[in-house]
Amino acid sequence: MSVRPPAEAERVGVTVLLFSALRDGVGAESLDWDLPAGADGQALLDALAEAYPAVARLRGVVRLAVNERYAPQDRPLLHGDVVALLTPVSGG
Amino acid sequence: MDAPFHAALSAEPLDAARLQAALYDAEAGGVAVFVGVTRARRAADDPRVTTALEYDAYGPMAVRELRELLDAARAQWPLVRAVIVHRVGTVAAGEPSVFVGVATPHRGAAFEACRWLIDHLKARVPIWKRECYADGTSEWTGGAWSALASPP
Repeated sequence: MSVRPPAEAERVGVTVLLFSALRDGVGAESLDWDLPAGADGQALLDALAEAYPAVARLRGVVRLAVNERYAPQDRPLLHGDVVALLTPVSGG
Repeated sequence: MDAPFHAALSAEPLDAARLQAALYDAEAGGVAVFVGVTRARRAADDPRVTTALEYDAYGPMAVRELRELLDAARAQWPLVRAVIVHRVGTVAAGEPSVFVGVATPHRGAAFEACRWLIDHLKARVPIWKRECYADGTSEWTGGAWSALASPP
């Protein structure tokens, strides 16, 4: 007997966090974003760049943090991940 | 501040004297301190006057990164105590924005570890500054990642 997996398993819902220039450019400090299962950081950036000119403009310098740790853009994202888009930092 | 190793963000003005006093320890003959202070000019040839800097941070990750920097420094030098505190919010020009202090048995390690910590903090801890100019304009700074922020 085959059991159809719950709908949640077919999509990846992530929380996107934005700071500094990206927060101002997008006009939000966080976004809830749905991606197809198996999508990675690259796919998330593609989608966000299409939706927000500020992300497209800064994409070349954006690094990702997944769940508070720097992460490569080809890492597959999991449902519930918190993904921060980080422009070059300038503390100090 | 009782713990010998302390990393934090602060929305309140930094009391450098109090933070430094927390580094004194009978096992540590050398204390090195770096205090970053907000400048009124970004560069000598920039005519704009900065009246304040606004610091934004990804708080939980910034504290995690600061703690990891302390751990990495402790693996390289015999730190007896260390304190890192970075401001968030508005810091007027001429006020401290970051305090880095380390205590080690001898001075050489203190100088080295202090320099290493502030350099790596600036390179990879998720904190951003916005320059607020006297003419009422402002802009976020930070155009490129430092080579010290090794890609993940």
